[in-house]
Amino acid sequence: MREAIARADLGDGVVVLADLGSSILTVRHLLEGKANGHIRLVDAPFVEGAVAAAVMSSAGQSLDDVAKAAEDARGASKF
Amino acid sequence: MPEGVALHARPAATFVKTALRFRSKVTVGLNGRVADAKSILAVLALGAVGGTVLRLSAEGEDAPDALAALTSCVSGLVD
Repeated sequence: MREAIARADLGDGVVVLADLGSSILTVRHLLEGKANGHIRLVDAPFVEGAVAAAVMSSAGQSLDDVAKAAEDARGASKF
Repeated sequence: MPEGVALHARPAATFVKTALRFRSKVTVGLNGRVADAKSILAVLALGAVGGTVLRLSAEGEDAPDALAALTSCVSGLVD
């Protein structure tokens, strides 16, 4: 996870999505003492949040907007 | 929409990324439903299939440019 986060970080920060349970604990452990908001674990649906965040990120949107898109996926209907 | 091209994940991402280039609020409507054109999940939920008519609407200082870019984007979508 540490390597993946480092690879994803091009300077503007990283939004991390986790599925359930131990993955969340592991990310939290990795981020301990680094609570400056540059790397964010967001509480979002895994698949829908990842798609929403990836589109926002690839469109060059801010870290805040990427994180918000992932979180907002919780309220999205699929059809 | 061009025949044979549905707004599934990849074309929808192209569409949303085009909308994200503009400051205007942009919506896309289909069969009476209206979605935020800057939200991939909202656009996917429309379930637009090839040959259907999308109603684009933009509000803001760059609205004409946004509509022109999105119209061109939709007509040029490939599967």
